[in-house]
Amino acid sequence: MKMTETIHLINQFIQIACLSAVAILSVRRSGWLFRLLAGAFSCYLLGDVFYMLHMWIYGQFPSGFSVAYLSYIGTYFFLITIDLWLAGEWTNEQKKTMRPYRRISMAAPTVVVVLHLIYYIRDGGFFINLLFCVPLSLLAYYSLLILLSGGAQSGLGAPPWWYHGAVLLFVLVENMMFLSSSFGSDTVYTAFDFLMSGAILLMYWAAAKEATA
Amino acid sequence: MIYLENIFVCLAAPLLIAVFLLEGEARRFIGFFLLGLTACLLAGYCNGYIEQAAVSGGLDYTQFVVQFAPVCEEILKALPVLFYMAVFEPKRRSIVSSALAVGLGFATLENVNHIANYGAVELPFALVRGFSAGIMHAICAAILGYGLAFVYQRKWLALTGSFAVICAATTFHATYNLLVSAQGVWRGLGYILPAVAAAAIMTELRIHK
Repeated sequence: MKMTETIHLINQFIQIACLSAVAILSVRRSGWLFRLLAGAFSCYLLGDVFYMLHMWIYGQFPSGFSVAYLSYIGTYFFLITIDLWLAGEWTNEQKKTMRPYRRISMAAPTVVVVLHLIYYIRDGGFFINLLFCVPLSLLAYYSLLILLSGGAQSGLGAPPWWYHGAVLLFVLVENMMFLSSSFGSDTVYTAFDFLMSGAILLMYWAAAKEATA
Repeated sequence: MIYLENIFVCLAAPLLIAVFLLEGEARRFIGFFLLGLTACLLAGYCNGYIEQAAVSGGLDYTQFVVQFAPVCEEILKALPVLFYMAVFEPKRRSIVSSALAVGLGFATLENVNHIANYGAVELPFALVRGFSAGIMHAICAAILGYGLAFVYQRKWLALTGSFAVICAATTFHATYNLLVSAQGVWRGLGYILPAVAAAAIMTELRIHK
């Protein structure tokens, strides 16, 4: 096995350990936020386990469409569901204060689309790009919108600052992983993959901080 | 040659009569069990078409079983429950039991078909099949049922939440297929994976009760 593959596998182990820990911790806590987070972390965990088992059994990572991708997309949808749940609990007054931030929040999906466009131009794979780009754009949009409008209406409820910041970091790291893989740099890809474990831990920590606030 | 339709008719006919004779919860359970059998029959057709397309596109049979069959099967299992949720606005408990009934119906037809194809002479073979693939379908159905019942608390979340839950069930199914399609210790792990997952889910449910 090459050195880069060994590092990648160690990285995957660390990520799986982090995901297992946060998934178990989320299941143990009560409340809708942690139920959905447990779903998101479990989904990502299942994807990682599938990916790694495929490597061990067949000696190569899945090429083309893989079920692991569906699992990662499932994670994004769990996170979008959390955002929609949060937004849905806001009153009409609070929703009105969101309006001015809608245009600014469009910056986040624009960045995601541009990064995916670069990835598409370099690597192709229209269908898989679209599958990842749409939910990541939606997630980025809602997270930035709630982050910005939450800050503007302090006093109307606990604005989930940290959590949405962590989700935006997660989206950024995910996109950078895509991009670095298309530039063929194993070191940069592994660095972002390592950062992903940090983003996941940060997301759980932020959610726990929000819950106790 | 075994015809899946013939097995389906044999299993479905008495259940269809039971649907008309029973009432309430029992009728709903048998009805969804029947829908599970139908989903398995449809999955047989769909998988046949997808397999042809995948193999002609250069993919080998094992990769088809691992990567594509779970997607098709889990979507077909989720459809009756999603329809039930959208049209009848049921209680959360009903969603879970309906999803489980669909999963059990699916597992029943698949197991009967497997036994009819490969023989029922050896008890260990039947035991392994029943306690691995059978439980795996029940686990996937439980993921679907509990997941859908949870996201259904807020109607506007049903679309994104349902998709996420189907993705989770599909990946669990694919991981099982990946393990049992391998040889040696991996296959053994695949056979015990559903039982371990079932034990974990039951423990968690007892703690939260």
